[in-house]
Amino acid sequence: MKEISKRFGEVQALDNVSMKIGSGEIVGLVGENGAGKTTLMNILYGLYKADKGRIIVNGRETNIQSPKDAISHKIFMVHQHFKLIGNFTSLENIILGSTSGREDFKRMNLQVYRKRIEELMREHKLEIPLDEKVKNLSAGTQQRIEILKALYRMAELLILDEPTTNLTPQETDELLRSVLEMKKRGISVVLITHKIREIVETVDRVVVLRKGKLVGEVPKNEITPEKVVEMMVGRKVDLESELSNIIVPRAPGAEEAEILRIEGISTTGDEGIKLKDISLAVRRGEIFGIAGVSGNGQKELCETIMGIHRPIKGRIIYNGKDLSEADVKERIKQGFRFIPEDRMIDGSLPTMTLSENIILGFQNFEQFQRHGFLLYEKINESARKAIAEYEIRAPNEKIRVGKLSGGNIQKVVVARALLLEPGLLIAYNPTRGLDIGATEKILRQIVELRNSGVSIIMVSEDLDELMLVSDKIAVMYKGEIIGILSKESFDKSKIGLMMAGIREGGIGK
Amino acid sequence: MNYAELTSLLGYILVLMVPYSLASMGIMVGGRVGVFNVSTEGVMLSGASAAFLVTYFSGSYTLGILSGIGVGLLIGLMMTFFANKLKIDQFIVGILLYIFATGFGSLLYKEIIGITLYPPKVNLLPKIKIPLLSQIPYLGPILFNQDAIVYITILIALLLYYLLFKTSFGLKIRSIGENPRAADALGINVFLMRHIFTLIGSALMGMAGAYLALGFTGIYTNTIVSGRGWISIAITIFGRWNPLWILVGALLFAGVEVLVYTLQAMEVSLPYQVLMMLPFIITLLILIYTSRKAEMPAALGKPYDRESFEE
Repeated sequence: MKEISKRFGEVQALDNVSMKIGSGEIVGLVGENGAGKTTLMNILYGLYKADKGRIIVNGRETNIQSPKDAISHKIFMVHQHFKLIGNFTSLENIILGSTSGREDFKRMNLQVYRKRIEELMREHKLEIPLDEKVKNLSAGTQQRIEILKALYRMAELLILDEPTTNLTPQETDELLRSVLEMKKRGISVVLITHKIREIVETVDRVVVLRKGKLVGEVPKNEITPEKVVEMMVGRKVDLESELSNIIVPRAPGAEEAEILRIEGISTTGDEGIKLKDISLAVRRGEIFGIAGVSGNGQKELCETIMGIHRPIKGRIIYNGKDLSEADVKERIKQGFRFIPEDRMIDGSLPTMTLSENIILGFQNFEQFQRHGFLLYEKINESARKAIAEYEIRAPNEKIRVGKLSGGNIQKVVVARALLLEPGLLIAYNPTRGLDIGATEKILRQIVELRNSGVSIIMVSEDLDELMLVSDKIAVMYKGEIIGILSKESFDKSKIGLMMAGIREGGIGK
Repeated sequence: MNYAELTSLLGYILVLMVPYSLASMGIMVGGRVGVFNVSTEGVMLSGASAAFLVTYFSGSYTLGILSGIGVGLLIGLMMTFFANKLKIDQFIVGILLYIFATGFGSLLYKEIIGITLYPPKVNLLPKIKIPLLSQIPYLGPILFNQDAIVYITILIALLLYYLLFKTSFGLKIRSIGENPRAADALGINVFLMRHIFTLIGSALMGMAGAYLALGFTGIYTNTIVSGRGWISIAITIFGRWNPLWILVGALLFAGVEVLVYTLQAMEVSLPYQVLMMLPFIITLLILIYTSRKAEMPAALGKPYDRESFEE
């Protein structure tokens, strides 16, 4: 790919980027969110059109207009959000679109297709159930289906976009093993990721992008995570040592008072995942981490604690008071704060102003209203403070939140949660979509909150991040808490196994 | 009721099945590529009007049916242009085209025929007696003494079923209605297929209207469709977007309608309006019952824009 440029409206997504991919080579394409990694590969795959630049495949200049062209050049891309049809079986998903012309209108001969796929499964050691509907399968299995889709089309270049996002650590290892297996067979692989640590061992070369520009390349023998992160961010960052410096250590055994106690909560499952008999206790000044592959009940648990869903069984006790019957409004008044999973859907009102979003949920508090009229002076002042404190990139506090970038909206949501002395903060992926700088800032704030005695429930899919800041980690699997570990016994592979439903010392149900 | 009356009554169910199933299949093929076209009621009226006029003046049933299909295509062209090209909300476009097509149908008739004391008439489509089979007692006269369109409708349903569920082309089509982004990423031409199947769907709706005038009433009135287009939407959902189930649903509603006419003829002591409400009440009940577990194409009603950022 040579001198590729692409603009989205005001944003220069790619600026004169060139990169090469050798045959049978594994290339890591790294950069922060919004660096242009995915955009670059989407252009190679024909999903986006480049404003400028050339693509050369096997020595010949090629005009790739659509994914169809890309596939005919044996290029295949597995997207971060899998492009599978949930209502189709694995088999149907793999063969979908692989036929053309008259074959399209003949009766499908599923046996022939099945044989070929089974051969590929054996050859590449990728096991999947062929007749199951895809929506019932785990993320790891779905990914294997995507890879089989590529192999079925005899791909010679496979692009994997953030392939590890929804995988347990064990599944990640498995994935990287199959990538090495493919390399042996001469298939080139591009791994797009911002988690450099995971791929260091696997890649032959790393290409770094920052804000749409090519920063540089690092050959295998020179790759160190620190160096690559520095190239990605543009300055030295060491999240780990920074945060461990500010976390006030706590003597093991010395337990603070219990703030939140949840006793045997179960739900009907109408809102999503059914919660089964969940009990936990969060102490004063403690970060209670919740790990798990996304979609195992974390969201439902947070929303139930917040009072959005009513459990059919169980109690919620906060500061000794039974709040099981309290509504969301009452819980906010008591000090509950929530950073929801999806900032666009549950977290903000895109067509309302930043000021209005900042006080959302507090609008009936004394500070912000008198006799039912909002006190905009005070509200705007709070918003201005938040803009300064959280470095929200906004022209002023009256801008509609929908006009901000995703990362900045996230900052608004976090700022709101921390606006008025929280007692209990429920943070769902608080650093989602933020660059390393902002991540650092928000994690630091959460840790400082903890140090000052606030209790925090933090859900994160980034296990490293969670292990770094949490005092305890509970692992959720299929709506259950499968185990709770305290800081001394954190162990990535143990947590990984629990995320896959395997209990300590045995197989879970 | 004697034998002849009973068989002709039951034969009517098959006649009435035709507009319901053609219209529902029209909605279904659009829905399978993710386009929910709710203009059915209007398209049917336009189709009825055009088909009646053409047959009235030319005497040709073929030309009449074809003009119904043609009007359907024309309105389908607008549907696909606004919904798939300009990506305007499908329901808004559908409702607007319903209003437009309703007006267009009655205007066409009024301009050409004007207001008459007695409405002009065409003979109904001739019945085709299939030799031997039509001799079977009871079933014969009901199933094998029908006009050509009844047979064609059943053929269309079987053909669509084969195409959608037995071929890899069908797999492609259904994938567009489930997840156009995924289909696009596999090199399936989402835009072309959405255009084509929106057009085919609308054409089927036009054909449904044409049949109402030529195969059922023989005259045109502004109330000739009388809600059958809306009921077809319910049949499509009830039929799980599957042509064979749609036939079953269409038969069911045709049966209800024939029942209403029979009750009327028998002068049951119920107000006429209550009887006329019956199909709609049944629709409502069926929808309440089926809507919870209804299987819809997942991307139904959603415009697809390749370069929009992902959710």
